[in-house]
Amino acid sequence: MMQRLITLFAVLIASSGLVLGAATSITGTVVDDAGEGIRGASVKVAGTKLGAITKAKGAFTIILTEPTTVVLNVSMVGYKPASITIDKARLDQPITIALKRDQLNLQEAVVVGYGTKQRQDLTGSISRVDAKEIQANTYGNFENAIMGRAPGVQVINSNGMAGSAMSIRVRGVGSLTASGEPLYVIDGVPISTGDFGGKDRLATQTNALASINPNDIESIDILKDADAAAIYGSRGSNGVVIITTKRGAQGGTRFDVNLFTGTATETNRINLLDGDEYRAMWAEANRQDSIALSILKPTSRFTAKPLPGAMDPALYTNTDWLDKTMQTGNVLDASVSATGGSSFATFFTSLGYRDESSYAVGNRFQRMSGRTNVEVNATDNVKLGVNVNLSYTDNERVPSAWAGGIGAAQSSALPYFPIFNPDGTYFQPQRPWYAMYNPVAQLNENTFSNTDNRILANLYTLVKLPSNFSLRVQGGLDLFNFTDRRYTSAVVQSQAEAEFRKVGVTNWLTNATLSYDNSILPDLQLSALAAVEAQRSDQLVTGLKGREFPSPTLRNPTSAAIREGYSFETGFSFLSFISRWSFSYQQKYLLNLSGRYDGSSRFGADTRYGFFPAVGVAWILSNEDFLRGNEDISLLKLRASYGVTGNADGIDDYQWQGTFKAGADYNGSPGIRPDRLANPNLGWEQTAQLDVTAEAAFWGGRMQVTTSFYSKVTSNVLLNVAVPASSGFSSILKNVGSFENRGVEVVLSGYPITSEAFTWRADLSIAHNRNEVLDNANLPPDAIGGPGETRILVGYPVGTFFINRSAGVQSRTDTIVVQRRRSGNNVSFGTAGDDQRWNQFYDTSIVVLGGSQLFYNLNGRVTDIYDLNDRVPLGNPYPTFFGSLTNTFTFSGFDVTAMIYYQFGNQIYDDAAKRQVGNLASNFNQNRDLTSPRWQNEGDVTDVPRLSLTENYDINTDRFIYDGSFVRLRQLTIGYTLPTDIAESMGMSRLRVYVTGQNLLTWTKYPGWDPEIMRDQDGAQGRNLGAGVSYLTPPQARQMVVGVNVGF
Amino acid sequence: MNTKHIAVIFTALLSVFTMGCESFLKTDPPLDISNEIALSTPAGIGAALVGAADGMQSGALFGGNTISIGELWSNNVEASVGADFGRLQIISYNLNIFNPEGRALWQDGYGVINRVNNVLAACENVTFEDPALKQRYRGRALAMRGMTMFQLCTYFAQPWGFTSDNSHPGIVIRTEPTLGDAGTRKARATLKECYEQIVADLTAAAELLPPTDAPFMGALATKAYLARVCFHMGDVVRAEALTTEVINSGAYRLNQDVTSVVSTNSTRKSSGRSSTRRSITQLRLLGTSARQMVQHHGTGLARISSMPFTRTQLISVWHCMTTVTIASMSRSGSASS
Repeated sequence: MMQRLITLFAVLIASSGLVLGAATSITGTVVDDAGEGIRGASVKVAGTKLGAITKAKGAFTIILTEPTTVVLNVSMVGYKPASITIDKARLDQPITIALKRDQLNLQEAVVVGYGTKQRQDLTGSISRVDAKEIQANTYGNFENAIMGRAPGVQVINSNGMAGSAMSIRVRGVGSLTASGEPLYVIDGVPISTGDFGGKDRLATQTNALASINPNDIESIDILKDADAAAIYGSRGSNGVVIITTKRGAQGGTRFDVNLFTGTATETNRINLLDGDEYRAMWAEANRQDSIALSILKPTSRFTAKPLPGAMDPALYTNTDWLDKTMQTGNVLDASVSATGGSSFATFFTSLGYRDESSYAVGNRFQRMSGRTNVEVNATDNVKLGVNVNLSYTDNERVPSAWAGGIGAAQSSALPYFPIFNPDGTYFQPQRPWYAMYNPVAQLNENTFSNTDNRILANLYTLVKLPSNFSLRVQGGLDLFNFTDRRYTSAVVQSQAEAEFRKVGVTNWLTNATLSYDNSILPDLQLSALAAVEAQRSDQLVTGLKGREFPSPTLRNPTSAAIREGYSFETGFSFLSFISRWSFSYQQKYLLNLSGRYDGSSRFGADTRYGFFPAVGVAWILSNEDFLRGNEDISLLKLRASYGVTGNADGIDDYQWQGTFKAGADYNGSPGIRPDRLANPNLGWEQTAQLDVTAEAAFWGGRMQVTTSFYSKVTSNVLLNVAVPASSGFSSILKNVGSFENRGVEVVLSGYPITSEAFTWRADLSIAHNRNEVLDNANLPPDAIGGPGETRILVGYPVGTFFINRSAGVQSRTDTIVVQRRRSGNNVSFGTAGDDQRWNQFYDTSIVVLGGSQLFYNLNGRVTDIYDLNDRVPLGNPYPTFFGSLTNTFTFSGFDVTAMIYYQFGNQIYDDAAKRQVGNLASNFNQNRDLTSPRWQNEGDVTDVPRLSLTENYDINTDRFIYDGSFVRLRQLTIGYTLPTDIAESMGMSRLRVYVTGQNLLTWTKYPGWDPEIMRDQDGAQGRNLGAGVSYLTPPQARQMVVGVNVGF
Repeated sequence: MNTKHIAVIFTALLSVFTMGCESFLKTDPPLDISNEIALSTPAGIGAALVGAADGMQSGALFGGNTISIGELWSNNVEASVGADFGRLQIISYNLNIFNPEGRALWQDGYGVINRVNNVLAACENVTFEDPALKQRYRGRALAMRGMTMFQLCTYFAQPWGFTSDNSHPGIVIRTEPTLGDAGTRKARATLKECYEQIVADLTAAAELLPPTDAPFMGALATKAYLARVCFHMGDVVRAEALTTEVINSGAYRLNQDVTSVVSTNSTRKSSGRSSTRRSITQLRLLGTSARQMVQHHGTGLARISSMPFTRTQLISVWHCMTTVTIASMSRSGSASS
């Protein structure tokens, strides 16, 4: 009634104005896409201080001082700002301004696990990546789309090979020996992830998630803090990635075609020696050794070492092995979808095909996928839905790093080796060389492919019950069938070998969720749910290996003379009881209580069940009277949460049980032996996380700032603790360690410029994380090692490098004082420096040759002896700062998006550099740029020692720790959308053409291939520790594509 | 339908769901047997005994290193420059914790002892229909424990007589199976206590076992081994008595000539080097373990030896050992090799 009176009053005033003809007013409404009025939007007259905030149903009135043509700037949190010009003559006509929804939004629905919430009702930290952003990514897996788009979420591509693995760290590394990867949930079903490939064959890993077509995804929501993730209980502490696939909507059927094609190349190529240079360097090394010998042992006779390969000098040539093993790859990606629906049913259906060859010769990844999501309104109160995804991928894999291929091409395939002998056969260097070190032969003759067939399906029933209750019953299935086919030719190794290996994973889930959503008191809204869930996953691996084939065309292991079969089985189950209670009082005060009671077969009888609670509170200040309607501050919200989540993934099944194992046979009789000590207390790792966040939006959402502080303490970390060997065992898995991650995330988003003609949107995210090990169960440094000398040491980040320090290179041959260890043994006892037996030093004067490598000992004094007792923790494999800056411009049909990704503060230990920088004795090709400043003549000042074939340079020192910081133009997209009327005249509703480049430019001090790396490791521990280690790790891929997107 | 109904329905659903939840979460490992089930039957105990014997034939133990390390230390063989670092450390008497041979000798030795202890504990808990079988199992287990403990004592403790009352540290005496973390820590006993345990084990085994029990040690083989222990303890009278008993039993034939345990030519090809393999070929008599030893030596001892065994050296070392080991393991061994 009151409103009507006001309206009447306003109309009266307006009409009186008309009557009087002096003052002029603009009246109108601001509405959303669906025509619903938007309350609280800001309407401003450009160039003046005049303006209004919309009232109920979006109505506003602005009184102008004089009638003139005006530009209205309209903005609202959750919508794209709009500008409208109103002609002087039309001022008296009420106008309707429609705002489009936008991702800069606080109004959007966010998937929170077992339901959705409006963003402004959240008490936890959730990042969202939407369909548009996912589609902008041209890489084959959806995880790549998250990179740079979710603050605090570090996405690491292991390399740029097609179909290769990814790693995601949500707010820092979350485990030491168990999985550090988040839980992936697709349409409510936690799915099988990771590498199912044969272990350690090619130095790369496969990615089970690559079977999902990113084009089918509507949104990716990443649950980051305990308030958000506690609903996933014992599997939530590494964060949860919730993937929601596209749904149909009522209305006419729309078809959408997205097609792009382009090239894939490496981001960088390192500079290696050619054959002549290598041989010249070899001669230099011999010369240096002879000089050294003449000084140190003048009476000895020097014998020059021959070039590796023991080959006929007439065959010496210049082969660029990288050129022979690398290529320009091609990417083709096509997706077609149809979506629509009626009041009875809605559907989304799609087909996708991707064919990608990478920069590595022989590497190709193909995916065919189809998805159908249908929802039927069976009755007024019952909805039935089915989501089905079928996919097939074929990944033709090639070796890299230490396994050969481009790894061999940059290391053991020396540049003076020819590819072929004069008779046309493959050149194979003589001992101590192995045939695999002709990478061209290896790539041409061997094959290794993985195929997977996958069915992801879920069925659900949604029943609307009386009294604002609803019940959802769901069954989900993830059937994963993975096949390895490997053939190693007799050309490459002494006998042909083939292996077929099949992995089948059956993963199913059922749950029932009862929800309630209503006001329970005036002003008090309650949304609550209770759910039960059961999940079970079983894995069966069977394989057959064969050696010695009668013919090179017979490649099935069955055809082999010697055959060997094997099998493996494992499985786990979870049973969970879930509840969440969210209260909202007057839209100002929010309280969220959630918890999950989880039981897991992975854990011991005494710890099988665990409870994971979280509490979150929020205060929306901008809904208070003193800020409501404020023209500058559109949103101000403070929230805090605390809770406990667990990590039960990446832990082998059955570990809590004491068991006997078969295979202890004697004299033809089968026997059994004890395999594992029982630990009935074995349980999940546990993370207690505090999150404090402030969110603010200004000028109707034109600028938004979100700042989060978090502290995560992870305890009960699983470690293999040594037990006295006289027990008959060497270690027992126990929950003992702890570490913490603390950090800050800042997101600044805004529209610096918005006008009808030109919009500029900018998004800046900065995430800081500090990781520190608090307790490693007093294990000695070498007890838990990762790749490339990474360790877990108290007071240092997880995976810090434990390494000797170089004290530079002696400039002139001279007698100097060095400090030596009295009783050194080159072994490590206890924590470095703990055991005094190894730390009695004495000074001595010795002759040090010019060009010799010197070291610092534990005392920080110069020594000439390389001793493992002098190792110290150095460096951090994880960045201390990382984030992105994304600028999006739209103007007259064009859209330009440029995303810059950056990370600072991390170091990379290049484990191969010790063999590639001035170490010819390794028989590796050398890095030309890094080797050239080597010591060559008396008086040279450098940190690269003289070349030698007798000195042991195959040692780890901090010379090979490099700054891993980089800034990268991660994505640049330029698109043009045809005006709607032209498109429609061509029978389309939408036509957009675009070009996208990914990883176009990189700025870094890292001298290797590419600073974005993850060394090949199939264990969770290697992944947690190895984020900063490279060993001939292949570079990232640069993709450049042109594409077209058609809707009709 | 009102709230109450909904609550009832949901509760019903929940209880259906929860039913059998314990069994849902209890999964048995498909590739392993839990401790409780593994040793719950005489057949299971028998399999565990086989597993213990398998532990003994490990290359780190009686299948190789208990012999080769002694040879290295007694300078009967030398390691070449190309040998792996473990053996290089052994010959220089400079072992660190990373030494694979030293570590494995200790670990695998106690692995066998733990396997045996599991058998002995299970024998007390399981009902045997055939009491003779239980006796035999206990006898086999005790014989293996005594033999293994003795080997570990010779390698990891100062010898008998190092202190006048032998109160110097011996090894850890383990007579109970280790099942969980709780039982993993135990201190070293004195050497005297160790030898008492060894003698008790072998004596009890000899009483429980039939004269021969191939492919396990029978009472005679056990006595032969006990004789060796007595010899080490300086009890030559008992050693002589036990050896005489074995010789007079007629179950075993003495070699005509001490040198006949040494073959002078080698037909086995391995790693392209076969010149210094005289001793090893003969040891194939040991059957499975001997083959393993040959393999082991293929990568270790034989390859590193730059000096052939001299007959006398070899015989002096092997004299007692071969008699006993051949006696204990020969029958099926020679059949299978």
